[in-house]
Amino acid sequence: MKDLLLIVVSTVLINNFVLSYFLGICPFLGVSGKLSSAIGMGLSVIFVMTLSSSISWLIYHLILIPLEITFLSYVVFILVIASLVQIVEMFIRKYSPPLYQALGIYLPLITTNCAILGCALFMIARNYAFLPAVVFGFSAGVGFTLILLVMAGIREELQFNDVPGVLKGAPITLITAGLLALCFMGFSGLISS
Amino acid sequence: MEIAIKGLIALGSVGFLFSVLLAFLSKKFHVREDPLIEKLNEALPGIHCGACGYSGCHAYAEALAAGKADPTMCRAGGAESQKRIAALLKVEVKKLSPQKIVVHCGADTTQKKSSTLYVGPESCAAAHLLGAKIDCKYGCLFFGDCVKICPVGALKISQGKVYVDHKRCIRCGKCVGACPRNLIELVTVSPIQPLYYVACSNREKALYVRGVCSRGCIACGICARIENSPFYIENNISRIKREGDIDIPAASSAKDKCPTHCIDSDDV
Repeated sequence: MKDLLLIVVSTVLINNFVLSYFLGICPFLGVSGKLSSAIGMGLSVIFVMTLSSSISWLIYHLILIPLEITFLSYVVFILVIASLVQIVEMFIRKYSPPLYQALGIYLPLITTNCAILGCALFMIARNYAFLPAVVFGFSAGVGFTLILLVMAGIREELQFNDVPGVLKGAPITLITAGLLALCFMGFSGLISS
Repeated sequence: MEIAIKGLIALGSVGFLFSVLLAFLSKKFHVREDPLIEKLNEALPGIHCGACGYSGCHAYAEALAAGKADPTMCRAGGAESQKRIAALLKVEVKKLSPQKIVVHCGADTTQKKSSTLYVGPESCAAAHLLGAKIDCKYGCLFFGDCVKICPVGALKISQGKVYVDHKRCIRCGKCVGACPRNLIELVTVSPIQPLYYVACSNREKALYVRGVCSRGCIACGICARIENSPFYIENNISRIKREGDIDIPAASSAKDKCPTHCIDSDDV
């Protein structure tokens, strides 16, 4: 239990995928403009990450290792992620057309979201058992969502501020992201082994 | 070899499982679209040129179905698709006069003088910024920014001159914006008359024009002095009035008399 809690805290706060590994920057900058679409994006990333890490774990340990073809892990993981994203896309399109419109191109782009592939590969590299792997995937998604929401909140506030002309738009967003990353560095001493 | 077979089988079966799952779910989660949008989408050319101002044919069809867009905005589809859109939306549309792309520089490499060697990026925009490649600061740089942007391949460059294939051209107007020297114009023309135009944009005096190009308009005014001539001189360059029908004999005699042969037509 303690191990799982450690995984959650370290993945969400300390080794956050976006701010310390710099993975998944594309949707982080693209969908953080509005809080409502950021929530939708975050939830779909949590869903895809949790499912993809568990399915990837199963495939890796039940198919790839017994057959000694672990070198195929990248291809298989991408296959898993792409199919899951398709399913999520169909689901959202059916049940929440406004969210589908709001996410736009970023929804299929989850396929190429490196945070998700990164999650699956880290999980293999760290030799997690099944339950820790699922928790790891879930908390990586939660960490991504957390940062996305924080960023979206800041950017919504930012719209009412008088940003100097040269920094308007992308530059101020990148500066904000950098400051956020600095802030999250403060968590690095949270757990001492 | 054994590993390859194992990999193939494993990868193939995993992929097959997922594809079956996806096929099943796509049936289950199928979303019905407004049939009108689908029909409108079929009436459009489907090349997503963006000339209507929407991000593609489908976006335009959606706007049409919602009544937000004007049915005459699709230039690529022309009269044919407008007729079909009007029938689907049950509205009347005005007839559009045909339009044609005109390139206001007709000099080839033997006529345009070039005293500099340009080795920069192969793009008109870059060469225009530097003012290099050819001496004339108004003329076609023939790197083909317009050719690259054309969605249907209606433009081609040969011997430093741009040729327009009017049969292929869909009048989307992308090349008009792509030319850094604003040489390309989309003009409204009469459907029955041949197209006459001045194949030069040089607004300098004759001395400069003669120095940089042997086919440049020197604003001598011969074309403008012919009786009933549609041509007139403005800012040191000959221009053509496009309102109404033009006097073809006068235009053709102006073409013959032009000392630098910079009046051109598609009349063959």
